Amino acid sequence: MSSFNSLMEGFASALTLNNLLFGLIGTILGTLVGVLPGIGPALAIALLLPITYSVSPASALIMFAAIYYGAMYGGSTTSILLNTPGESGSVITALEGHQMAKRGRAGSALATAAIGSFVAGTIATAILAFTAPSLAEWAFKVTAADFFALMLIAFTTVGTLLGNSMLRGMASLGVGLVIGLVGSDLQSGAVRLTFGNLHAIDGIETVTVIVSLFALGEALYIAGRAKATGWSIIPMKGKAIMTRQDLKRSWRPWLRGTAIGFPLGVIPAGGSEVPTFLSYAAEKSLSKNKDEFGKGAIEGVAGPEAANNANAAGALVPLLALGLPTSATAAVILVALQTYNIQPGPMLFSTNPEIVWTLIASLFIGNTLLLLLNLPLVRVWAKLLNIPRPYLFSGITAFALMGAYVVNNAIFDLWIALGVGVIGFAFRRFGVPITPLIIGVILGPMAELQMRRSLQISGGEFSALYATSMSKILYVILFIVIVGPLVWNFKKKLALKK
Amino acid sequence: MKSKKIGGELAFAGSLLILGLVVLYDTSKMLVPPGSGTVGPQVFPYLVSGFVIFISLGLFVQIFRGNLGVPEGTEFGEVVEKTDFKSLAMVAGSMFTYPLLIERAGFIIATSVVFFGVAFAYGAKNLLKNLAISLIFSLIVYFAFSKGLNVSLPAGVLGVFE
Repeated sequence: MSSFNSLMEGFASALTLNNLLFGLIGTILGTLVGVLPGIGPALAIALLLPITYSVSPASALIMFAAIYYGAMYGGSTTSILLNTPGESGSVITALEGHQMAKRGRAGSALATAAIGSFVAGTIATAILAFTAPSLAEWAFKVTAADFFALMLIAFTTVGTLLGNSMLRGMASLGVGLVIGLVGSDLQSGAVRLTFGNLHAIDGIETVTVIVSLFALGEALYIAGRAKATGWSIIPMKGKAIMTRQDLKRSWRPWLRGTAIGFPLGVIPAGGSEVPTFLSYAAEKSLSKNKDEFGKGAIEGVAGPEAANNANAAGALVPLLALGLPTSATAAVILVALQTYNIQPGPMLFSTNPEIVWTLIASLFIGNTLLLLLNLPLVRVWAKLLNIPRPYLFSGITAFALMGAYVVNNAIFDLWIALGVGVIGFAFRRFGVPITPLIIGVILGPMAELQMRRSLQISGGEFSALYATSMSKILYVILFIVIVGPLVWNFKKKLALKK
Repeated sequence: MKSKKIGGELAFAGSLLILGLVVLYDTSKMLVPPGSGTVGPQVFPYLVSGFVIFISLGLFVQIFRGNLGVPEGTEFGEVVEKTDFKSLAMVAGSMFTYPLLIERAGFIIATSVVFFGVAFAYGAKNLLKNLAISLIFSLIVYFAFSKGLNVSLPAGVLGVFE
């Protein structure tokens, strides 16, 4: 009951005219940037961070929640109307969504995506509101050693589940851990990897890393490695509305997508690839219209879209309650919260309850604003896809550089940004996933802190790291996560030989 | 043809190995302030460097066994086999002007230059149109952020007009 009361207070602080205005602006900007091809939710939020610098925390939070959902919704618009998406969470949406658009059913596809996202987002946020506080309470009992084990699991799952080579995922993570080391060590004051540079003592800005890895890396990669074939945009016909038949076929996939997406967001499963794929597979096997799959089955849009949104809300549970980001998007949100001196984690619910509840209320409001705004405006968004490629990349590059500069108004950050941009190019070129690097940059220092805390208490005795029963369980899980895929691959190879 | 492909891959794994070694070296030379406790600032970097070196060696093995990376697909057309170094250099060159110009010449000029350069590298043919769009973009962003949102951006040489 107390959660409910706190949530109502959250609504009260979020629902002022001023804040609603910020929510509205956030929705528009989030969708606008999310619709642009080549920009996924994580980059969209990172690019829009400078905008929130000058507003008050409460207004910023609601704007931010609106940007978050807006960017995700914008991404699905792109994958439905545009051929071949690059964003992991929307790949599955494109499978059926683009086929629907080709058959003149873009309106239904966009509507089921929008309403499905709304339904899933609302249910998932409600579950978040009621589970996160108890998780945070439980997390008080979690020791430093347990946290360290938990982070090792997050590293491993994010590193192995993304991309098609476990080793390359781990390489990405390693580079991220190294970037996270740069600067002065908070506990001892020792400086690491600064090579005498005074700016480097403060460490490397996470925003800079994220923005340049995605935006500058992509701009370089496309320039160097993609043939300018242009893309085929399906023109929007009619309105984005669903028929009764569409609704009948969509509501179950929405709920199933939510059920699949939310739990997979809570555990560190490395983002939205796995849940959207699982939802698609589930809908395909359950559907009565199996022959329609691959030719534009609405279930194949409704399920994965709901899963994507529920997954995003699910990722907020470990983020808010444990301070543990499990996807690139969650990592960006962590950074954004930190700019307002809000440190997610078990303490947050007791020290800054009003902030948490304002944020959660903002998620509800942002989600609703999005539904009200997007369905009528979908034609306007679709027009954005007509921006010529040269100007699109110019704009992305210019914004990314600006974003890197304004964090500290330091030229040093720009050189770092360019260096990271080159890394982003190399990663794409050699098939190395990007998200593990970001997780490494953010979680690396936290993992070190927990490890040292635990070892400090034990007086340097390494057995302290696996002394509690919880840490033992976590290490067993870690073992399964590492060895499981190897055994699986080995079995597959054996089967192939036969 | 095949050996050439491996060359890039080897350079990548090699860079990773060097990165690991640099971390190892830096950590061994680290000045550890007294009273850093039993677990000082060197333990974690040693672990990280060991991890990075281990992974880079694994990559070498993987490459020699013929498991090469799959270049990432994009939303923007086919991925080509050979890198277009001309476009790549133009885009990178434009980006590198930004840190040189932002404080000396100011936000508007620096942004216009990057915008123009990247658009040109991406095949914007009409130079005048490109120039106009670059300037308009920079002006709008500058005024929206510095005046509308109070984000401080360097005015640079154009500051005299304000």
